[in-house]
Amino acid sequence: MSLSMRRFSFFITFLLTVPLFAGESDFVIDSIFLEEVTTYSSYRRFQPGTKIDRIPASQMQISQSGNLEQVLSRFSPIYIKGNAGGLSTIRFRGTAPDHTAINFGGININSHTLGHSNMTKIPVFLFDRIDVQYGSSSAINGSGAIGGVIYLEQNHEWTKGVRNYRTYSNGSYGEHFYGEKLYLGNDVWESVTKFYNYENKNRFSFKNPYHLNRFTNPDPIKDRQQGAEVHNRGVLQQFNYLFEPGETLKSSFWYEESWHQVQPNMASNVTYESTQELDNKNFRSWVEYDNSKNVIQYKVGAGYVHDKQIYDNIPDQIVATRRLVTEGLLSYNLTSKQELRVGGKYKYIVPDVHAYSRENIKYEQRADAFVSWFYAPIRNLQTTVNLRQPYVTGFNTPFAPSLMAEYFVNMSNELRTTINAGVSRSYRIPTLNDRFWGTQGNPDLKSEKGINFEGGITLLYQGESGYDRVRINGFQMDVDNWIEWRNFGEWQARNIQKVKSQGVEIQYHKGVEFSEYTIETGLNYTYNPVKRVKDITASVVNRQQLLYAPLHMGNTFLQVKWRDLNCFTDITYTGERYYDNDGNTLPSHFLANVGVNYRIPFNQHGLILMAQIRNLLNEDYQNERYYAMPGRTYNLSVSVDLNFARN
Amino acid sequence: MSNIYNYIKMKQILNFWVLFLLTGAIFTGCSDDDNNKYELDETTIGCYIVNYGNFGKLPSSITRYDYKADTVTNLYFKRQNNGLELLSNIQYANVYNGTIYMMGNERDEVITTNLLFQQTANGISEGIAKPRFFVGNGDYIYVSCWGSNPDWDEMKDTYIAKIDTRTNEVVETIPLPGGPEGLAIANGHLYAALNYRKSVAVVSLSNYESIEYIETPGVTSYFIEDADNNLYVTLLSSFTLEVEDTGLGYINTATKTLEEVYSLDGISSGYGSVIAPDKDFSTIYVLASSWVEVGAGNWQQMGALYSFDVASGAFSPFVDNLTGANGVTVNHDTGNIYLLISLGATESGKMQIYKRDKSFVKDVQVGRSPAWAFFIN
Repeated sequence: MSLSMRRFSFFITFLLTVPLFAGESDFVIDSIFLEEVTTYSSYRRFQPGTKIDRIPASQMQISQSGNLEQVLSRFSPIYIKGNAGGLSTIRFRGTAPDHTAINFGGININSHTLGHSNMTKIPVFLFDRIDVQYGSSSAINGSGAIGGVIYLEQNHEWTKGVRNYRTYSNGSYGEHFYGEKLYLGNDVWESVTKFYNYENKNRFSFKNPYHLNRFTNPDPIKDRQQGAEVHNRGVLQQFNYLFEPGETLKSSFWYEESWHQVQPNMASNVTYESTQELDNKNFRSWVEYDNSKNVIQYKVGAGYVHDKQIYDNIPDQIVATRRLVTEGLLSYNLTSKQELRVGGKYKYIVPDVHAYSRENIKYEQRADAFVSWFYAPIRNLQTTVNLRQPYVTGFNTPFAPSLMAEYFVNMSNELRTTINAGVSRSYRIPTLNDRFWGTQGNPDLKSEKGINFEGGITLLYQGESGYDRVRINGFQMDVDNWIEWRNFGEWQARNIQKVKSQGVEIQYHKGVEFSEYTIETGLNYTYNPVKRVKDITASVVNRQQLLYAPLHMGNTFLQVKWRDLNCFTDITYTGERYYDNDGNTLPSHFLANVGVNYRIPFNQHGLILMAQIRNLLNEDYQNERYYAMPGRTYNLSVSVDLNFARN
Repeated sequence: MSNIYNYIKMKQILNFWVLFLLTGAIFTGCSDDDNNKYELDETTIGCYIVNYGNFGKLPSSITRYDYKADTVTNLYFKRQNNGLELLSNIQYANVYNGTIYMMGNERDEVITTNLLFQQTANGISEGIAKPRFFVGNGDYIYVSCWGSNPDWDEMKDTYIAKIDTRTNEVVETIPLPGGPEGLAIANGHLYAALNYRKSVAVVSLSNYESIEYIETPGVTSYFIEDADNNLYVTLLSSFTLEVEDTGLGYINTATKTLEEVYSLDGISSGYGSVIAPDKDFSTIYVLASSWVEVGAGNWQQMGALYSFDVASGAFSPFVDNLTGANGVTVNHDTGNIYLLISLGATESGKMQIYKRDKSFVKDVQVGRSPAWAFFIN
């Protein structure tokens, strides 16, 4: 048994024995779980049975000084490929980073030039909720929603008075975080300001086998990471107005500056002199008027986005886009069992990219028309049909329908079973880089197209002493016309291959509350074979698992709360990943984290102290071949919650 | 007396043995010093393919193709070095004075091995940043370098590093903006193809501050040298500059002038062996792109290999409809043409072998993204 396995076994034993110390007591259903089943955003309403997980508030709190990469890789079975803080890209159900939409209001924040987002540049602190949707949903979310969708959400508390929350944390190797939230409001208006500043020198030590004298001494040396510094900061301002219940005006303005050094790989770290830098500035805004007072409900929204990236302080190396986005939705409750929703979306995109010719593209217009029909034909059965037709100037786009159904039945007072099934078409419009980059852009590309079949069963048992919830989900997804850059005399993007992703996802959650203890625990496991089944070069179709797509992934967590003291621990397992198509793999690894936080209440206010150890077992691992990752790190944080709001 | 004689005799014998042993020791010492040199024999002769890999993520590998025995050894460097793999992406490699020099990027170093690809010394990293190509002259090699932080526009900080092959140290750097790529030495001058300027730099080997420029209609990448020490240079299109023409340029090194331009659209701007002459320099093979009809009236750009007839100055297609063609080389022993094909940055590529009459001989599986090949024969 390897050292890693022994450590893991010890840790599992520890996890399993902790609840035994707690004894038994009365049951109270977990509030987080309730939130999950009772909150219906519009994207839930029209996608019954779709697997949408909410990152629980307690896990958001644990990760508040981190970013999307940290929270997803720690608490969800989603693989994030990346290095120690500079660049991380999501691989949802084995798909490419461009195949996950990231929604903020009515905007998908993915870059229109690159097609995806850097997960390390999306701070958890600015958002109240993060929802994760598994599987295709282009009929609802448009282009790029093939593997999944991340929703960055805000709560609207309609604060009366003033509330201020600020937090400061300090971690190993030069990690500092400062964040502040200020809520101001009365009965009708509300201002929420969130600000954060994150710096990480990333000067962690690691074992480097690629040192200069390896020909004479093959043992690894202790090395220290160079050139991996990160500095992100941002502000999110909301102004919200409540005309009356059911009629609101909400607005969000998010400005982000993120800078990082391009981390050298382990071999280059030895001879490090300097490295490149990437400087991003992003402004995203969304204003939305919502009227749901009457039988006919409507919502209109508009947003403006400016993404700008400068490579290595060279102003000429600019990659920027500006886009204007508008959306309108009209919803009509035909009967108590039926609802019809129609809508449209329009985007005007202006690129400013050093490698694009103005003759090829000055701007691009995109429009989407969509309709959704919710119908509950019998008691306990909900179905929806969603249809979406996109239009892009000078480009053919596919039609995207979806059909979903969810049936639930109470087997007894305690046991409820839900069965879901769905089929949906998805698509992705090629990025602007794919079509217009220099002389290599390929305007003849087709959209990527996918089809997703999904089905599952959920068992919820609510006993007197706790709840248990098991969800098993199966899926199959084909993505055709998959785009890749290859050398055709010149390097060019082409529709190269077809990929098939399938798998099973198992979730188990348990909540217990007794005496003064609350215990929550859970387990996620994903089995996901994903392979290319067709390629324009037939000889490369070898039935090997796609690169950086683990066949097995899982995680487990445990939280024990006693009065104002909360102890938590979690473990993630990442299976082997191929890093080339010649059968070479990165080994599997376990990562364990532990921590404790303690809230000291004072009237309505609170002081929260938190300590965490990440990578407790000091696992030596890589998420991308040749890029070092930090070993054991320590983090301490202090938060102050000053609540002068009236109830 | 005889004792004295015997004593002298003994001393002479002893001295002889001391001298003999010392001589042996000295020769053994020399042998130790030189044990990194190998003679050409059946263990070294072959075609060596440099598989570039994927920049910063998957390092290069070497494939040995022993064309006489028709055997292929992939991961050859790893096999020759007790399982230690290359760590860099090799931009270019070749043999000079019995030593193989490899231009490693990320990690940036010039790696040296013997003819068996056995590395026994650390790579040269001091003074080397993004090495591209080298050419040898006497006890020195000249290495084109792009500097640690290129601006990818004017390439202001690029330079030539001069390495003393006796000490393996950079002894001089010659600033040369413009992104020098391919190098050649002719008539006492170092010629540098500038990849970010429409010119070729000519550096006097007797005075490195004396640099002249030959204007070209396109940016330039690599040279080949004919029997008269004149150069053919590849002329390419550019992202940042408007070019007047692409194809092959002919430089008279006696007058340092561009005498002729042989136009060819879509000549490969890849960094690999995109140009190669046959043994008698009657034909030059060049990688470029061509348009292929993939349906009625529907044309698609694909890779192609052209042959250039030196006498007539005309191009003609040799192989077309190629995907992933990174390099071409000619085996001067057999006359066969080797075409290096990448099937993607993360999977094994192949080498296609053709005869001069264009007939296809066979495919040889090589490593990821093959880009260069050189011969030890």
